[in-house]
Amino acid sequence: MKRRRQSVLTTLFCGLLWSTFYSGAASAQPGLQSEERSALDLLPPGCVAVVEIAHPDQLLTTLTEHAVWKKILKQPEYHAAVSNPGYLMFLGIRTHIETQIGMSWREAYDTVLGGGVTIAFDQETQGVVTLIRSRDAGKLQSAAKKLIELGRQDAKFKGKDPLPEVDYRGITVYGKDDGRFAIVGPWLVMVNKNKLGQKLIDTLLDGSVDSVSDNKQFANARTTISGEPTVWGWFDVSTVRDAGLAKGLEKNQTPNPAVELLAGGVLTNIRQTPYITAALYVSPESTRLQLAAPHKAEWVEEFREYWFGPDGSGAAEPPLETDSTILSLSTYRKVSDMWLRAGDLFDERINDQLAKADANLTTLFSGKDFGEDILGSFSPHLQLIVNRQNFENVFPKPAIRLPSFALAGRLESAEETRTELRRTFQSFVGFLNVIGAMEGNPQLDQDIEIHRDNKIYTATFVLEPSEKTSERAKIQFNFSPTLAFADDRFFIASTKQLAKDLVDASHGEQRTERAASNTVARLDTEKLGQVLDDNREHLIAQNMIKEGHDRGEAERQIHILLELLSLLREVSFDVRTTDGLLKLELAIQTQK
Amino acid sequence: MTTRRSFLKTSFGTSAVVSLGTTAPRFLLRACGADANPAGENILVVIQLSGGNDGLNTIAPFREEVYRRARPVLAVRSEDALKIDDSLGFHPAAQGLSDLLENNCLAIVQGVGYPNPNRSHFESMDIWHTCRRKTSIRKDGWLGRFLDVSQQGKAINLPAIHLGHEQQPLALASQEIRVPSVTSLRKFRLTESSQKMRQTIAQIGRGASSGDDLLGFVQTSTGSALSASEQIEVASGNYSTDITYPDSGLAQKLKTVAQLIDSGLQTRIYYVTLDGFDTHSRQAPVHAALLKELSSALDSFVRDLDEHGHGNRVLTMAFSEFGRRLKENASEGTDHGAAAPVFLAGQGVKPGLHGKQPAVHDLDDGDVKFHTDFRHVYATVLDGWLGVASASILGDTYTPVPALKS
Amino acid sequence: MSNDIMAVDPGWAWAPFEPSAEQPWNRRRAAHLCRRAGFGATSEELDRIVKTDPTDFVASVIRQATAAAQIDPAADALATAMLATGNSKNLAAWWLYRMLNSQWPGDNAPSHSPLLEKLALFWHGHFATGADKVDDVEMMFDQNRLLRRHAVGDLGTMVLEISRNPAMLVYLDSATNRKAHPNENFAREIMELFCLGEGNYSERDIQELARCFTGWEVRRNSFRFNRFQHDTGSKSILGETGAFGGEEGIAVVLKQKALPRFIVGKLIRFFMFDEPSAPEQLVEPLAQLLRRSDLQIGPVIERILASNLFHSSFAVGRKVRSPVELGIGLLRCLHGSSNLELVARGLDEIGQAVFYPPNVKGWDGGRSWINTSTLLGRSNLVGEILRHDKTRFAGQSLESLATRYGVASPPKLIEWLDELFLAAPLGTRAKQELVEFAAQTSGNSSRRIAELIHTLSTVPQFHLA
Repeated sequence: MKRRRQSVLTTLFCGLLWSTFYSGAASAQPGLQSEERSALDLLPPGCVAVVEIAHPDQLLTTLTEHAVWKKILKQPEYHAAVSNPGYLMFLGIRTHIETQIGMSWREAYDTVLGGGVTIAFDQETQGVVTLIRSRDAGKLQSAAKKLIELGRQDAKFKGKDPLPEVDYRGITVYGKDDGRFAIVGPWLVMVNKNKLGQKLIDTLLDGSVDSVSDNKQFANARTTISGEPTVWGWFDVSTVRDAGLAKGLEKNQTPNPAVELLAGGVLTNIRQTPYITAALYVSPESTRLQLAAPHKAEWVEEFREYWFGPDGSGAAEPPLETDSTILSLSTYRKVSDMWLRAGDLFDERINDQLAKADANLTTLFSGKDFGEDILGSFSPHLQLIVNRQNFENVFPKPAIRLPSFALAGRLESAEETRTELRRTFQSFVGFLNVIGAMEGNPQLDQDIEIHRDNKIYTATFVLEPSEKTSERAKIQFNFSPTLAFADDRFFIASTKQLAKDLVDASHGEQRTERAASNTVARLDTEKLGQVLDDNREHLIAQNMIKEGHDRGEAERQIHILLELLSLLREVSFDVRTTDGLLKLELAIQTQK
Repeated sequence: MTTRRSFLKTSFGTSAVVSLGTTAPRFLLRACGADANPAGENILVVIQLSGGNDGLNTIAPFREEVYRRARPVLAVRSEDALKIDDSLGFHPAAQGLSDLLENNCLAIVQGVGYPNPNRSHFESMDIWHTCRRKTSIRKDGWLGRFLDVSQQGKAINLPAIHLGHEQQPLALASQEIRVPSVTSLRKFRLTESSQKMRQTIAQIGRGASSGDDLLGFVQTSTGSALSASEQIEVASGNYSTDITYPDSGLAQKLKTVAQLIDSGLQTRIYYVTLDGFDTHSRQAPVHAALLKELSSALDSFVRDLDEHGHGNRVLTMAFSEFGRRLKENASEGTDHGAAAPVFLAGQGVKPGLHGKQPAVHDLDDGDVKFHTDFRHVYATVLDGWLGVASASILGDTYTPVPALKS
Repeated sequence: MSNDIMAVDPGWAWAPFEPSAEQPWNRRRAAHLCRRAGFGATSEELDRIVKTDPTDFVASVIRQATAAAQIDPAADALATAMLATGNSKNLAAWWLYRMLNSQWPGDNAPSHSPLLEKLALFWHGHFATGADKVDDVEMMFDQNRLLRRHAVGDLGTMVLEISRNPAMLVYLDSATNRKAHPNENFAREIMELFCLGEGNYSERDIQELARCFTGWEVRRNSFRFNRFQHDTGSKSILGETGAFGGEEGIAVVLKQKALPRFIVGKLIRFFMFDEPSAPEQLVEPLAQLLRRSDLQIGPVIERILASNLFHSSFAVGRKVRSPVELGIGLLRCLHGSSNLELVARGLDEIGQAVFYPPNVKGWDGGRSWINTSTLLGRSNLVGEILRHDKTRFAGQSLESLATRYGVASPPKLIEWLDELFLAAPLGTRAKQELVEFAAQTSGNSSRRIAELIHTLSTVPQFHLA
């Protein structure tokens, strides 16, 4: 047992040593030319990926002072976790190290990483380099010295120096094989290829040579930075592509229609764009990830015009939302074109399946060609809306309470296609009834209502007398499929209520300027939390069965899940082509 | 230092454990002769159609007025039947059977049954499995007895394999041999265990009682499980075929059988089941789907075996515990009956119909009468295909049906 | 005492087991009782049980089951949540949860009765009905409620109710059973599988009984008698003649001498030994008891569990562990909890999916549980459960459990497990092998214990209950 404790200590110690400092001490350093240069000036020109964290100290401050973190600190589960013996032991070791280096861990972190961290992949040496600039070269060196000493002491009984030293041009380099590190002035250089390390030290000692900053594409990319990203990255796609490393990109095909609809345009872009940048912004209010890549309209193949629109002009409509909307997604996709051009977009297997599906769907829609007639009648402006259902004064109440959802869009030549769509909807409901009757499920009753002068076509499940007041009704009672129209708009909704709400929402709304976005989506996490809360009993039961918890434990876990969700406000997603760039942004807003 | 192989060998007294480890290449196995089926001995694949296949709608007497009147809803119509001759035709869903017949790879033995038919699924199946009535002791099945007979003097590992989730059929029960049941090749391994663990289990099993009691039974079973698992792991290897099997359960099982045959196992009997033939209500769609599954799977299987050069040494037999009543019931289904056809497929068959179609106007308690005892079919397979004297296995002498090439 | 079951004196066999110096009432015997009457017991429970008198304990187990049978599981929040999903596989997980969380009678508040769960499983196998065909979770649940209600109660009422049970009627195709086309399936199973056994009726009896059931239908998931489709003519069944309806038809069957013998034979096989089938002289006294008590099941079970024969070498270790006993027993004895969906799936793969019996005959049990595939599957499943990240023991790790019982060292642990799990104890040499094995394992303590239990579970003795 004692030996085990010892080895745990060693592991923990070494882990800490390598992850936080990973440093070495070097005394006299000849001809240092590096003080004023940025990390980017030091990186070799052949770098194909660069990631930069300009202010690691600020990042840590933002995180530790964040409301979410503070809330986590208040959870009893957190206290349970930090009072376990493993964690306490870790704290003990940390204190020991802090005493040895004469700084608190936080101070050490700020001092060592304060000047920024840059990580890059060099194509020529196939190596990864991490450049850390400390705020105080002296403190860096003394702290590193102490840590290396501690590490060597701990490893003594093994009789092997874990950190052998060599000298390279007067600089002490630590480590063996290809994994090495050295301290040069304020810089801590870590590499996984010896050759790359030597290159870096050469640059540091000899002054400027060509660097990645001289790469034209890289320089271009730097100009597109907006604000001060917490983390910024650049990836040279063209070099990777030309080297034939991205096999998946050779075929201009996506694995299935769902991926195609979601990311087909991104594939088009990645096959031609020179580079991609990523910027992460972390603030107390939100976390945003922006991806951007140069984009040209002429890159778009004919078969993917359905995704970008003619000349890349396709833009989503402003999303329709109601008071109960959990998720709204608005996009520009000419789906019928995708369906008809499936031959170019997918492999043979998927095309076989689509052909079968097409035959079935055509039968289902009473002889209408699914791709041409049905999908073809939709304009490319499509929306998906998911709402929380209110069952307060509704009977029967289903045992599992699902959200309602709807597809909304506009009809090309509305006058003609409206009738077609209605007939298709009604015969589809009839078809569901035939299947339902065979399976012993309740039947749908079709009806027509007038709402704001618009006809809405409804189908509601017929109740057994015993079900009329049920609070545990079958899952079917979450649905009352409905088709509604408002001007040239159509709504295919899972419930009558949602269809009406959407007609209301669109009522009187002017055809506003379309957003510049190709796709926008917004998830209201508060409402999502409410839907989960509506199904709390069910979630608890699932937790008991799947986690093996007793009821009390299961209740607590679901409570925590909902608590954590309540820390968020919303998640949004945006895709647009603008200023010659294809931009994707994912943002998470948090409660302050 | 004992090797893992000798562990298993000595520990459970199971003989002929071949365990060269998972990495041993197949040619090595073949070269050492231990695993191969060097004599190219004939192989029998049995497909059990559980639940009572409606023979009258599988091979339909579409011309018979009596048949059409008895089955106003279910009768196969003349224009739909896949004609065999002027009066008989396959159910339209059985295209694969029709194709097999066209390629001279299908023999149909008609009107197979036994005297005083029992209409309980279990009892009738037990009779087919054991060739014995309930009144006599039934410890083993006809294939189990074949294994015992053919095993004499030479020990074969895995002489028979049952492929499927269901309980092992009584037909395979033997006095001497424990036939493994395999659900899938992947499942047929100890996935969570270490080498050390297996050695320990083998050691514990060594020299323990091997009596006839439950413990002895579990002990021998554990031994054969460990060794069979290793052998299949080695044997399954890589398999490729140009034949596209349908995506059905039976087809996938038969594909696995084809892989195992091609891997050169010594196994001579493979047993698979297709369940669901107990069509008491709404028979039409269910029976059509089952016949399609059976016939297309069988057709792919036979062609795949040909492609791999095993076509002339594999015979497939499909049987059911009974047929169904001539008269359909009010639920658009049929109830338990008696005589029904048995199918033999492969290059070794004399293609075509054998025996008379049972007469639909000469009924026994509402059922068509059998005229070929199933034991004649078994005799055909045992004497003419597997090469053993059938009398000792069947308990009496039965003349083979001339359904195989001599 | 003879070694030949045929020569056993029924008087001795069914007399209550009296502990003595040679046959002490100890943890091993209590473990045997708990394995058979339920799904095993924890070490703590065994300590508690051996302090009671064995006969008294069996009586309290029966009382607990009888009381629990009166509680309708429809009030169980977990059940309603699982029903809401509309999937019978989830209902299976619910049942496993109940089995796992059942507790032997003691000072604590009443909870699920292990015996009731075990008996419900017995009757589920006896009146086997498969959810794959019934395809309605509510119907399956209703049948389960029915089986629980009568599990220790009145056999006659149970047979009558099961004959009108929608799930059963759907399963045996008797839902559309018309005058002109009596469907014989259900009548056959009543005689062959539910009440009398083969050889105690003729084909003619089946056809006649089928006529009694004409007009028994299922409409809107409930039983309905359609008098227009009922054959009101005279029937003669098993020697009695009359214009019987379904109830009278069943009454005739229930009167048969073969009935109590058939049921007692099955109960003996389920609770005592897989083989050979119980000789007539042993069946007869219990058959008479069942008949005398107007087909009350409780007294027969009580007699079986408290008997000399139950604690004799004819019964101890003479059953093959069923998959449910293996999976639930493993967790139950070690204060375990886990992802029960995973366990349910695993049990399916080794041959026992509750609510999905293989056919109307239910699970054959005995040797049929064991073949190459299931043996490998059993070992793999135990390994998977032990290592699964949701599996906990008394809410913690195997290491803390072993420490709690003071059995952290391999030799102690092996003794402890041997007593807890094995009906046929391991020999000294086998234990030595396991000690050596434990010495060679690596990783943290919980991992090493798991590996040891996994190995033990693959040893042949482990498959006997």
